[in-house]
Amino acid sequence: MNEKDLFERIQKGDEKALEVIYKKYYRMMTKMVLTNSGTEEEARDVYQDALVVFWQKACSGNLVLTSKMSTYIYSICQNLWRKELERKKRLSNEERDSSESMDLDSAEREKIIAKCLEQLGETCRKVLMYYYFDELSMQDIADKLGFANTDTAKTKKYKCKQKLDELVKSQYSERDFLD
Amino acid sequence: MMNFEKVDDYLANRLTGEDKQAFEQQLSGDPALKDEVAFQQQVIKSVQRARMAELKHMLNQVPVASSAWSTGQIAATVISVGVIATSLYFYFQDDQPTLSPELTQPEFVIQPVPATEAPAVESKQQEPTPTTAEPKKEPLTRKDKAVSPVQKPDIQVVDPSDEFKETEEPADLATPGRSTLSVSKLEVITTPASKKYTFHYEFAESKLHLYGPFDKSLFEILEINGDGHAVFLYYKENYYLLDEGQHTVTPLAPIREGSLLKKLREYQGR
Repeated sequence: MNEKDLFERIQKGDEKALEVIYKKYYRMMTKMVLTNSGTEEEARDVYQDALVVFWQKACSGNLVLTSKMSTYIYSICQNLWRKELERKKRLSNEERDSSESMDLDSAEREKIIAKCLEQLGETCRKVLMYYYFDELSMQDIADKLGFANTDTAKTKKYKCKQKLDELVKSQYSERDFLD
Repeated sequence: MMNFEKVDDYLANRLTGEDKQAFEQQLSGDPALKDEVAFQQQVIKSVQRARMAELKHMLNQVPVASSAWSTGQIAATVISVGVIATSLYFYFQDDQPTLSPELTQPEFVIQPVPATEAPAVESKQQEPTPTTAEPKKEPLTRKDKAVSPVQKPDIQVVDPSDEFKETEEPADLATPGRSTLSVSKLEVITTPASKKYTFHYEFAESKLHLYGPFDKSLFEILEINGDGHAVFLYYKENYYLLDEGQHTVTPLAPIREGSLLKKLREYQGR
C-alpha cells in the first residue's frame, strides 16, 4: 500500500490505515522523544496524540499534504513534545500549576456526559464521534456505518444528538446543575 | 427545539461566512441562545474527548516493535509457541520450561543472545515502565538549558532516513535462538518483520508462515475442528483469522466481531 492510498483511506476514516501508519512510523517517532529526555511511555503517548491530531485533520478534510505524511506527523510530535517539556519546566518552577486545577463543576459535567454517551448504544456513539470529532462527511459516515444514504446518516445524527442532550439535561437537573 | 440545527452547525464548524456572522450577531443579543450554545459546546467537547480516548485506546492495542529494540540496546530472543485448540498444549524446544496450559497471559521470554550483536548493555524489559526507561545521558544537558526561562526547549531532530534503513535489518537481531515449532498438524514458520511484511501471514506448502514480531512475545495457533475447519492466531490479546486458502502474503487484521471473539475466548478458556 503506498503513501497516497494510505492517506486516502485515512481521509475516509479507515482506522485500519491509521494502525498501519502507527506501526510503520512507531520507531522513528518515538526515537525523537527518547533522544530528547523522554521515557518510552512519554514517547508513545506523544506519538499517539500526534496521530490523533493528524487523523482528525485528515478526516475532516482540513489537511492538504504538501510533504510526506511522516514529515508532517513528525512535526506534530515535535510540537507536542516541546509543549510537554515546557509544561514540565513550568511545573518544576512553580511547584504547582495553578491553571491546571480545572474547576470541579466542569470536570463533573464532563464525567456525566461521558456516562450518558456510554448509554447511547454503539451506533449512536459512533455517529456522534464521526460527526463531531472526525468531522467525516455524511457520505463517509453512511458508508462506514452501512446506512442507506446521507439522509439516513443526517437523521441518525440528529436523533442521537437529541437523545444525548436529553439524557445529559436530565442528569444535570438531578444534580442541580441547571436552575 | 429552537435553532437546534443552527447551533449544531455553528459548533461543528459547519457554518460559513455570512451565516456564521449572522448567527454570532443573534447570539450576542439572546441570552437563552447563549446558554444553549454553552451547553451544546460542552456536550460536543465531551464527545470529542471520548473519541480521542477511543482512538488512543485502539492504537494501544496495535502490536509494535519497542523502540528500545530498534536501538539495539537490548537483545532478546524469544520462543514461538504453537498451540492446538481445545487441549492447549504448549511445546517448547529443548531446555525451555514447559508452561502449564492455564497460562493466561502471553509473556515475554527473554534469553541472552549468542553474541551476534554487541553484548547487551542493559537488559531492559519489553514493557516500558517509567523506571526502566530513564532519560539518556546526553539530553540531560539539554534539560539544564531548558531551565532558563527564556529559552525554548531545544528538540534534537532524528534523521528519519536512518530509521528506514534500520527497519530492513532486524532479521540479524532475531534469528539466533528463534525456534519454529511444529504443532501436530500445522507447521508454523515465523519470519521477523521486514519493511514489506510487518504483520502478515500465508499458507505455503501446507505450512503456516507468519511475518512479524512473533519472536518477541508468545502467540498461539488455534485450530477449531467442527463443521468447518478454521485456524486462528492469538497474539497480544487479539485474534486473527488465518484463511488456509490464502497462498499469498496477506496482512493480519484483528477480528472485531463481538460474537466470534466471545466464542474464541470460550474455546481458548480465557
